[in-house]
Amino acid sequence: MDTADAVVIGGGVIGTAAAYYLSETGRKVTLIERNGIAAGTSSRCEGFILVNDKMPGYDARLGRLSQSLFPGLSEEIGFDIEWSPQGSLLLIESEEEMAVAEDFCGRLAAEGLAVQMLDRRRIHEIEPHLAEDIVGGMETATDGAVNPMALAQGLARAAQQRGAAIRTGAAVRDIRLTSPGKVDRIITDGPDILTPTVVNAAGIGAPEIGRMVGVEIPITPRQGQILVTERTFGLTRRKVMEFGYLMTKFEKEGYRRRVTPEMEANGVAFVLEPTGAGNFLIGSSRRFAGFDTATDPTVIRAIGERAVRFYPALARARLIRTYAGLRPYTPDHFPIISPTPVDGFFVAAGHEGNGITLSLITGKLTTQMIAGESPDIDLKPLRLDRFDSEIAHAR
Amino acid sequence: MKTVEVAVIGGGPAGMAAAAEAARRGASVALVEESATFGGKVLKTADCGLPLSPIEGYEKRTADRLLTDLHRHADRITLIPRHQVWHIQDGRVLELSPVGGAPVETRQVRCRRFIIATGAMERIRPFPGWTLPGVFPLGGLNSFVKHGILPGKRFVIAGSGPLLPVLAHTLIRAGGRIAALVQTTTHREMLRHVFPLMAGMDAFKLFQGIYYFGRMIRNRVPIYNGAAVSRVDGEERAESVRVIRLDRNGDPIPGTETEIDADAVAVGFGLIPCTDLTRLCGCREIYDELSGYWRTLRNSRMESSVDGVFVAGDGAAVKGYSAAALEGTLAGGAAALQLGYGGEDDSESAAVQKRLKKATRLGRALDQLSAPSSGLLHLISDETVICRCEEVRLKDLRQAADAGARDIHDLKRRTRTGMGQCQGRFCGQVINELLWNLLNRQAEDFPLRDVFTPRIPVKPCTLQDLLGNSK
Repeated sequence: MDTADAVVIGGGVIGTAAAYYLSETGRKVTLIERNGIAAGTSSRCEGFILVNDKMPGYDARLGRLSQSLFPGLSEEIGFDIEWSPQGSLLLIESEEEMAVAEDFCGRLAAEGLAVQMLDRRRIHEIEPHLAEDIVGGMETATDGAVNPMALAQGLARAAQQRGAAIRTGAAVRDIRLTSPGKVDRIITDGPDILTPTVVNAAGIGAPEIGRMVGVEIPITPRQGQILVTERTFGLTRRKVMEFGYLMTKFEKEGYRRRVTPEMEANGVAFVLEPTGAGNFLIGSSRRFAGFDTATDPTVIRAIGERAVRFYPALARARLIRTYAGLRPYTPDHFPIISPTPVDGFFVAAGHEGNGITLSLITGKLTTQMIAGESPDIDLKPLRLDRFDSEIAHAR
Repeated sequence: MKTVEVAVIGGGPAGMAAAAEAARRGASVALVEESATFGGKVLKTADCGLPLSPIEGYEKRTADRLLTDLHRHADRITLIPRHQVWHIQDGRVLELSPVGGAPVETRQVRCRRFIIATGAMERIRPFPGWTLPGVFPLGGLNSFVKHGILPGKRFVIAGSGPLLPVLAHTLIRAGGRIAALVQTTTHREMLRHVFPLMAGMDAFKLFQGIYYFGRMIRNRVPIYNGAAVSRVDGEERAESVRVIRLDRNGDPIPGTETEIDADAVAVGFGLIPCTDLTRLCGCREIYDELSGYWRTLRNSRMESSVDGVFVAGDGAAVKGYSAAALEGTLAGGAAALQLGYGGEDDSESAAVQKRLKKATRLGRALDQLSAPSSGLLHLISDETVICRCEEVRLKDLRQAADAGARDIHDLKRRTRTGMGQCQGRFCGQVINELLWNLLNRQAEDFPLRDVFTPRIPVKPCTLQDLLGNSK
């Protein structure tokens, strides 16, 4: 039998961030992960740290809070997370899109974000490989990317140095409660852990963990496929995506792009990330496919075709692999950082495609929530009980 | 989209024989091959201008016979050279991409049965200096010489397996000097394998063995038995080679190194099956400790654990081209039979099975002689590159293991080993053993032997090769 002041379930970027900030408060923390560090969604994603894809308002503020924690992190934890701060670019295909983007940009700027519109001449000046007909773009200076696997490894190591125990290859079998409804212990493959506090950071596995204590968590896996090119010529150094990516992400009604039926059906929108290693990651797709992590030719071709439309030179890039990850999707696209009806059982999950960007602020907010400190941002929009009516309805 | 009854992947001896046999029975066949010509790596004819040796003459006749069989049923066989299979969908649709800028023949082949005959590739064993210019894999150097290129003057040929004397012989004829032929095999091991070797040999194979070693002796090639290359040194390229003696377990004996001047070094330890496609299809495989690689499980008709998927030749288990062609014949026949073609001639297939049994004996014995001892891994130094694509060194793997990496997937996430161009095709062979050495734990604590997750495209291809309308 082990004991801990708090147990974090899940060794992805969210769980390791939670363990890192929790251990800073002097708590004795155990992180338990059924596979390895960053073995799940955190190694099957891109590494963007973005605010340019957040909705103006709370979403953007939350994103910016998290983003501001990244530039100094490598130094803080003594581990290179491969932070690359080259900024991001949203590409605009048409004059109609330009009008929507200008409005969007203005509202983000009003939040104090470092965004600006680029006209046709300017965007082709800074991105010479772009397709000629791109009419403009939106640049966000503070955006960047990290290596998500390095991020999780670094955070886990730093938490360990602060005294946290990292148990990988150990599955949680059950969570026992005292009566009435308070966390008592975690039953694992190995020794059980006696603890008053549990953070459910299991991502797409969070509902399964929730059910152990009778808490419904509305998270569904939403598959995304990514293409990886070999290390290749310097096509761009920025993180690039099409403006339409936002619209597919937010599932905006009435918004139509000129894309093929395959792209439409699989939520394909162009995303490009130059990685620290020199490869390019090309995305993206969105569909519900259960827990399937196989990639398929239809989606691969659709993503490839969309990429070549924006950067024609990518046609000559050699693909070395493709992979699929499962985003933990919630019905309103916001994560769940929240207490639950079970005393001592907290949720930090459901970030869909924003997990890497929001990892650090999630770790921090989770810690503030558990320690009873005032949070850096209002946690009400992230509470689990915002879904109460939907869950009741689903029943 | 092209539709056939039987698709064969790989145009080497196994694939050619499979295609010919399936077509002979009446099935429509497509034969996909990466290079422009058929015959596979072994039977590719030399074009260095040298007259054929008796053995090369025999190999050429074998290749010619396979080609003749293939052309005899040309009306039912669609040849698709210069194309590779990058994915197999739903077990019945092959996704193709052109190789090396070839014009697109067809992007998809739909079939009812398919035969994987993708052959073998060289087994890699890293050692200090193996990435220096002037250091080659055995087969790589052999191809160079076959194409009339002699990339050095003084050669050291090292490793194990039947390709050693073949390459040495080719080099001598092309005008190279052999500074040393270094074999890990000891006389003891040779003795242990002598019975299966003799039992599997026909007169020609026996002649072949005697012929090659006779040439070595006549040319006064210094031969080191029970020894291995421990390191290659040089400023810009290979300049000197160190050879170390091995004990009876195959472990290097400290303090027994000899230095030899050489500007070209070829090292190889036999071949291992290319398992990209069998893994992708989910064919069951087992790790063969004696051969030192993963071998695909099949029944006597070459059908894998996945219904309708046949695997023939060195792509399942390395036995050489004679066995490969026989396996191809069996696979082609069995696939056609499943589709309702031809009353199976029992005596005919029994004869093939019998010949295969004999060829298998010899092939397996040579294969097992080639398998390197795990002791050779102790030669690797901290600075030795393990994953060439991502330049991951042993010390990087050590660091990851110290930090808690517990399986090869974890190693990959932490160090990028296997994430590059080759997708772990090369480093994947030794990564389990290296992790075990680094963890230095008790046998029962060892993480299980594992392989990297198969990903598509199976081999790198450009986006434009994948795109376009399906043809």
